[in-house]
Order: sequence, then C-alpha cells, then structure tokens
Amino acid sequence: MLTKQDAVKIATKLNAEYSSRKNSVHDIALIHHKGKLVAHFGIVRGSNRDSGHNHISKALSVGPHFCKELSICTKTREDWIKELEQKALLL
Amino acid sequence: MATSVYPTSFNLAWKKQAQTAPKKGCLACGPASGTAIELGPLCSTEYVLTTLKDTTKRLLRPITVHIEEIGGSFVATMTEASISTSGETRQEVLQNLGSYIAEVLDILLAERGNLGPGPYQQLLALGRYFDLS
Repeated sequence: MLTKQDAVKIATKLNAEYSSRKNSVHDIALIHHKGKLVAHFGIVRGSNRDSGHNHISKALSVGPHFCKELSICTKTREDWIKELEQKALLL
Repeated sequence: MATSVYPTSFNLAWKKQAQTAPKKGCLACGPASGTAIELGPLCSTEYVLTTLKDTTKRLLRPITVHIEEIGGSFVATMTEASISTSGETRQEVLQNLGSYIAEVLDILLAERGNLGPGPYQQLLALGRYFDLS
C-alpha cells in the first residue's frame, strides 16, 4: 500500500512542483519533463501520514511496486522516465 | 430536482452496464426516488458525478467513476481521462475525485501549450465533459 508519506517522497524524487488551492482537500504534484507536463497526482491534505495513496501508480503509469521503489530510493526519476519512454508516453 | 439531467442515451448506456447488478436506488437500474443527486450510485463499483464544486466550468454530462478497494483504502478513477484519487471511504474518494478533476482541469488549461501526451489526452477527454468556451 502506498501512503501519504510515500506520496510525498515520490513527489520529491520526481522533482515535482506543487499546485495548491486554498481550501482544497489535496495538493497536486506536477511533474515536468523537458518543459512539458507529463504527469500529476494529488496528495491528500491532513495529518494522517498513513492514509492510502494507491492512485499514484495509475497517475504515473507504472505498477505499485515501481512506486514503492521510487519512495524507498531503489528507483530514480531516470528509471521512471525510461518506463514512460518505453510505453511511448513521452514525446 | 428531476431526472432530466440524464439524457436518454446515457440512461440506456448505463442500463447496459448495470444489467448484472441491479441495486435499489441505482441510477442505471431505475432510480427509486427519481431525484438527481450529486454522488449517485450506478452499480456496485461504478458511480456518477453529476455536479462538481470548485469549478467555473459547466459540466455537460455526468462523469462515470469506477471505484476499487486497494489495500484498505479506495481509489476512484474517471476511466475516460485516466484521472484517479484515493480516499478512506467511497463517499470521501468520490468527493476527492470531483475536487481533483476541477483543479486539474484548470491546471491543464493553464498549461495547454506544454502538455505531454498523457495530460494532453486527459484534457481532450475532459473537453467532452465540460463547456470550455
């Protein structure tokens, strides 16, 4: 299971920028590559660091195991970019 | 409150989807109350969003949402646009998704000239649901 804590680590690992709207229930992590927005995912606001964030694997077009590896640093942003390239999800 | 917000063609489509799981109060299987609600059950795993808060864009038609339980929490997905969020309950995840769609739509429109293939397809899909003029 991916938690909010994982989500924050993944956003950091992917050099995400945040978009935050006042009174919103989530912050949005925006991931750019070569000046293009290539992915985004929401991180629910609140104090529960263990809240489920299993939607992230869909948002990043990879499996949950890959996401977990991003959060524990056995995968890198470059690994993820390669995955997207192999799936023809980058220009 | 009336069911007229649901065009006949969509009702027919939903009925086809929900043939195997008729449920009391399901919008597809024949809503008992005949009222339009914000978060309407369609069948056991599919719901519809008929209104969205936090957006100035007009929703042209209801959004079908697929919900699945993963690892003790819920993930709601607007399949057509590949947009997902998580939540602790079905109600929460639906509300989260509605809010997320509204925010992401604004972001995609603001970055319209700088979208990769995935977000570009998402904007195209959302354009079929919202009046972007």
